[in-house]
Amino acid sequence: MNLVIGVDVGGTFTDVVCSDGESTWRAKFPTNPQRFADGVLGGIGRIGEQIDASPEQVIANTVRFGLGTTAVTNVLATRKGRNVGVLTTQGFEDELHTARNKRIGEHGWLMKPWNPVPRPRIRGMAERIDRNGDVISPIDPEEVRAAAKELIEREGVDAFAISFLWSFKNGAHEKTAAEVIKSTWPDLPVFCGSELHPIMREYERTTLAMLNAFTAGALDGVEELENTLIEMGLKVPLMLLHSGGGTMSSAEARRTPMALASSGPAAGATAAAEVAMVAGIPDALCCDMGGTSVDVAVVRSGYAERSQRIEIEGITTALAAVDVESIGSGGGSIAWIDSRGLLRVGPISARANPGPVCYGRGGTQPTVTDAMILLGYIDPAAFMGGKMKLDVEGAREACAKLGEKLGYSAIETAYGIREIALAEMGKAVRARISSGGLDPRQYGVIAFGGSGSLFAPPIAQELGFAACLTPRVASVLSAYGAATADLRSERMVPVDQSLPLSDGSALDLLERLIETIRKELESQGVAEADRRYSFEADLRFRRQKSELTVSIQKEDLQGDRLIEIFRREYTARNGANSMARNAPIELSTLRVIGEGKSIRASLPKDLPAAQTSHLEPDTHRLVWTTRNEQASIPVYDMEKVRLNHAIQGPALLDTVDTTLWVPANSTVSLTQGQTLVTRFNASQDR
Amino acid sequence: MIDPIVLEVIRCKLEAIANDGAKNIKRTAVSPAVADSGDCSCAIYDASGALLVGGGAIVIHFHTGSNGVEKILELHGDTLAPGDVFMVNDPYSGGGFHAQDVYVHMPIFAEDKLIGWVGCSAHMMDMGGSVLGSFSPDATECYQEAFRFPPVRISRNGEEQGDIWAILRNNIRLPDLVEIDIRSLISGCYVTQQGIIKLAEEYGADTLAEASADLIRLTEVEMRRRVELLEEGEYSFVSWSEWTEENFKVPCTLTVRDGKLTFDYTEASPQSSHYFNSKPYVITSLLGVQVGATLGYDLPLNEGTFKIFEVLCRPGSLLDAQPPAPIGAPHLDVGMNASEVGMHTLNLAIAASPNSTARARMSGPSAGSGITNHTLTGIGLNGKPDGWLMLDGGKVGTSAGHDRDPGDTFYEGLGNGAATELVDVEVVESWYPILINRRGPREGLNGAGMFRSGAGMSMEYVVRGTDGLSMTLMGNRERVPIAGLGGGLPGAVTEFHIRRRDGSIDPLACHQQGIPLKEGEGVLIDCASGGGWGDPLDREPAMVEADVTDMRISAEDAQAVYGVIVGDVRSTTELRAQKLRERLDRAQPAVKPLTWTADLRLAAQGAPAPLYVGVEQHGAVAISTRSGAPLAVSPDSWTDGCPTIEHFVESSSDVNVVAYLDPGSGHLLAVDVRLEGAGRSFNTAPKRWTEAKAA
Repeated sequence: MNLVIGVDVGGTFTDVVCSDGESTWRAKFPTNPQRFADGVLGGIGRIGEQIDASPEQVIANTVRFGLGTTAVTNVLATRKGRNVGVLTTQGFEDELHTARNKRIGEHGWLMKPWNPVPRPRIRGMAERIDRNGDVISPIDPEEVRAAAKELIEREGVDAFAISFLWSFKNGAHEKTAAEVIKSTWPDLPVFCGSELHPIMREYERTTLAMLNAFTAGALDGVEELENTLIEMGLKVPLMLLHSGGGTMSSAEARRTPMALASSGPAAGATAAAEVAMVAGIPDALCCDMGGTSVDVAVVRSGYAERSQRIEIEGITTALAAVDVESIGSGGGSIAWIDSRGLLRVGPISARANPGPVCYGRGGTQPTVTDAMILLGYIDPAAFMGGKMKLDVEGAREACAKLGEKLGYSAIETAYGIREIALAEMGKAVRARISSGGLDPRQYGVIAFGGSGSLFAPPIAQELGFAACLTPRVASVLSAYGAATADLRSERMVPVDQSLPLSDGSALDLLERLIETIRKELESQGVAEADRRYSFEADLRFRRQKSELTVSIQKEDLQGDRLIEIFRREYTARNGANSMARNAPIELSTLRVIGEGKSIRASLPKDLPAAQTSHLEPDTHRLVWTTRNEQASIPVYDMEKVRLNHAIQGPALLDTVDTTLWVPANSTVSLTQGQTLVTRFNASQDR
Repeated sequence: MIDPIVLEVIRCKLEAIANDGAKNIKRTAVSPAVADSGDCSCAIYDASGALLVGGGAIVIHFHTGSNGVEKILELHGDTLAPGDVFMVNDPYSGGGFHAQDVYVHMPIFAEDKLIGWVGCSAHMMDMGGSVLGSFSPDATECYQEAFRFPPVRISRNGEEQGDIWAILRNNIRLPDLVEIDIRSLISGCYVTQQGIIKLAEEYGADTLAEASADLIRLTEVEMRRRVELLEEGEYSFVSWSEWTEENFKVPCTLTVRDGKLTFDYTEASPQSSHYFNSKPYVITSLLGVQVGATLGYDLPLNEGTFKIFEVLCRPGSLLDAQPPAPIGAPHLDVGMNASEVGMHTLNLAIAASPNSTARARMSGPSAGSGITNHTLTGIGLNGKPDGWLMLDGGKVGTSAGHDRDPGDTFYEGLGNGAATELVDVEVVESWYPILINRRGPREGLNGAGMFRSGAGMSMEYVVRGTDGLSMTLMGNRERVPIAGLGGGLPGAVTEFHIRRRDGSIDPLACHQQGIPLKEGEGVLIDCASGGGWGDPLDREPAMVEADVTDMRISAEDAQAVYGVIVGDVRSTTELRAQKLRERLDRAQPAVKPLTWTADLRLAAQGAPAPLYVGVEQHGAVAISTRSGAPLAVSPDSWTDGCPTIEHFVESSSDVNVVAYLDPGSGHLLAVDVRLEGAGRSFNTAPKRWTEAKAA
């Protein structure tokens, strides 16, 4: 028996997915934030119960162990990391605190974003390299040693970030400084900007080095888990799911812990991409609609799109990550009345505690979930498989009380909350369409998370999407992502040459990168036959900041081919009249992505197809489909839907932890990979 | 009123549509100012031009679109048709801030009925005129500055008007670049227009119109309720804008009456022959955003925000210039100064109003009048002529808030979070033939106070990689600093220097065109800052020590200005007491000194209410909150009982910084910035005070 295991260690629950290539099992176990191993082993134990094996037997038979972890995310969210010292170019010690003039609004005031390094821990070195990489002032090792000594002894610094101007052109000064520190204080982690991200723009390169140093201790728990698993008989290395949607070894993660900063959302988007591909809708918006936020990522041709910079706790940093845009609206969003006397929903959330009023944990302000229960969209008796009793009357009273001020009944208020929540969540999806220049008719929406299947279908319908997908594995999607993501290594090199390229130097740079990546894959145990390389180029008009990332082949680094690719892609995204014919085009960066194919979990197998398209509803539920009308809506058991079945909306599909709302003028059916697809009638008049 | 839930849903969708438009502009524009810094806006207006909602980073721009729509209606109202697209960039006829800010306006029709407008605007790299970039301090008439369009159709009934494009392209530099950026505005307008048409189909045009009116009305009603919590009366403030040796008066008297604010600027200096003349619609737009941020930060910004105040300017004055006066930057310099002076008066009113909800957001005004942008032109790194705008000189220090130190290098302390981005050193050096030696917040006191101002930017760069460059400076606040509030000291002034190759350093006047810079010569920039809040001697010693540790101020400054001896609590206490005594010893006697008498005590009976920061009104008597010393009897100014110290801090020879002391303690109650020979520049006269009668 060869098993593939995927684990997602979340804040509340640890999800485990296990597959033998034929069948897939899943389990949930409470997370112990002090010891990840408890939740992971607990989950594995529950899997073992399902297949009649001890945890040791499961682990011994595991040929792939993927882990998505919030270890680094938690260090950042709680803002408790190492005492970082920063060495930078003299004269620019304040750039980190100036933060490119970014401001965050707080009750009307404009405040600076968080910064983990107090100003006295930032030291300028009298060195300077110019735009060509030539040394203007050499670095003095003694100055470095003296500054480091003082930072360690006086400021208690226990991790270093080194980032000098133009180090991506000439990394010698950073290397010298790092060697000085490592040779004197071998136990202290040191991170260099040029090593982590050898690309122009010092601010985001410096923040990347700084945040890596800050989170340098975050992997201790992961290594402890790995050791425990090895003791229990695990024969393969842990594969950690990184922010770019691939995996890496724990040794590689030590080199750059920040790669794990958005491990969770990346895992979800990676799994969603797989679901979309199998369902035959390779381009989709993937919407994680949870209790507090809606996170939207774009999947193109079965791959989650990445961004070359992301924001971490308000700090912009040069981390390649699955590009997730977030808006504060979800099931836990609280409804309130503003000073103009209008009903509003969010952005304040009741979160897990106290949670919605109906949870009976002390919440008094009505949330979106309370409204959905009251309106009949969620069956209170079947919530969490009937294991959690809901206080429907409490939700009703809370809505009634809020509505009093507006002259509304409880139901009218609840319906208003639903409508406003739809508009707010729709904003996140719309923003993604407009900033990406996407045509919704060509895209699907993949919905997951607690509120996903109730809200995504009507939003997708209103915005003119082709279909809305609800994966069966929705509730453990991130764990599934950890079980399916390939090993992925990525390196880039700045080129900054005008097109057409005048010589073969860009190709040389690419070949050198391929060699580096080849060694990385080799060191992580990927056999030659399982390695795959792909190449990307970042192209732009001269001096343009936003770059167009395109997939290329080696041959494209010849003649006018890059220019053609740029023109084609640019006009495809921005419209025919956006192209400046005479403006020079540049190749700014080349990137090599190495992937190691590995054994992976498969989506649940399809059960035999149904004979007819008709499926009898199990029951009917009264649902408020408009503000003053209750309709009897057929309710189906999601588990009974087979291939060939076609269910006309309006309808509700229930399963243990999810309810799917199929709006009027749409049809839901099952497709490959056990994914439900809701398609919207094209001709309907909205 | 329409159903409140439908209303909120429509508001959400309008906001999303406006943001769709702005994102579309950013995505399709090419020039870095628009595509990178996001210097663009997209706003939706009702059929008459009233602002409904805006999208994009340049919030201060939203309301100027109303100016354009109103002008189009006046000139072309009878002939409007679906498929019309208007372009306008003339501040004298329906434009935005300046000629570089080109506006594209599109009418929105539903079933042949005009239901609204969308206006998109962005900063163009060049709009013609005597210099690249259309910023010309030497211009004495608007004709030299830029090519200006009144509202003209670039598409009529769906048909593109090639003639207009030809005229435009023929009169500007970089026509390809500018054309694409203008087309990005058209695309932003189009997306927005389609969104609104869909919304009108969904809800019905009548419901949409009603919802629009309700949204404006609800903001207005709530804003008015908050204005009604302000004490009725008059509040005034004066500042000056400079042009080398000349001074231009920018005064404002705010009248609070019947739930309305009237900002009266009619006493401003006559219009000048310099580019910084302004227009009332520009001041209104700038001021509205600030008034909104202070009184209604939690309310949607729309026409309702603007309905609660009025701006009065005298035609022919600096703030309502008439052609052919140059008008190259009506929203910087003088325009910014006018909005700051206005906000200063509003803060005086809030400080005198015990029930105002805005007390939590009392703050010195924005510091935008210190913005000193400059342009450089010459042979670029690729051997071809090049020119660019350096925005680093615009990174002024924020005025202090009543309960906090603000951030550095940004002109606003209150707002919605959108700030113009600072460009990375490597990016600047890779584009242009300069080498930056240092860049960071300016060390020194800046605006000292119990809460201090943020620091302006301080940087030095050297010409490197070209024979020479020509520099044009458009600065302000060289001599007259921005005043603080509540006893806070004035901010730092702008300083530009040139470092010659022999090491000598010469100062530069801040309004100059064509300053030659040779290779190896350095430019030193020190940006201005806003003022402080409260007496520096009241600043927590721990906060002063942190400023020393963070290398913001020296230990000497800590001692001299804050009375703090680092690490020595006892000496600090003694030193502060000594400084207070010295102030009273040095001071000139008050205009009308008061001491407590039986009659005065009788006059002071009545519930206390704030009059100014640290000053209370008891009956008909103004009293220092801290010392209980009587200051004045109604209707005299509360300052009449304060001993004063002229030239309290060092300043330019024609500027007098006057301290008003608490006669009972020696603390600073107010620190005034005025031209030598001028009277007090601030006055607080709520009716509650001026009409108070002794019991």
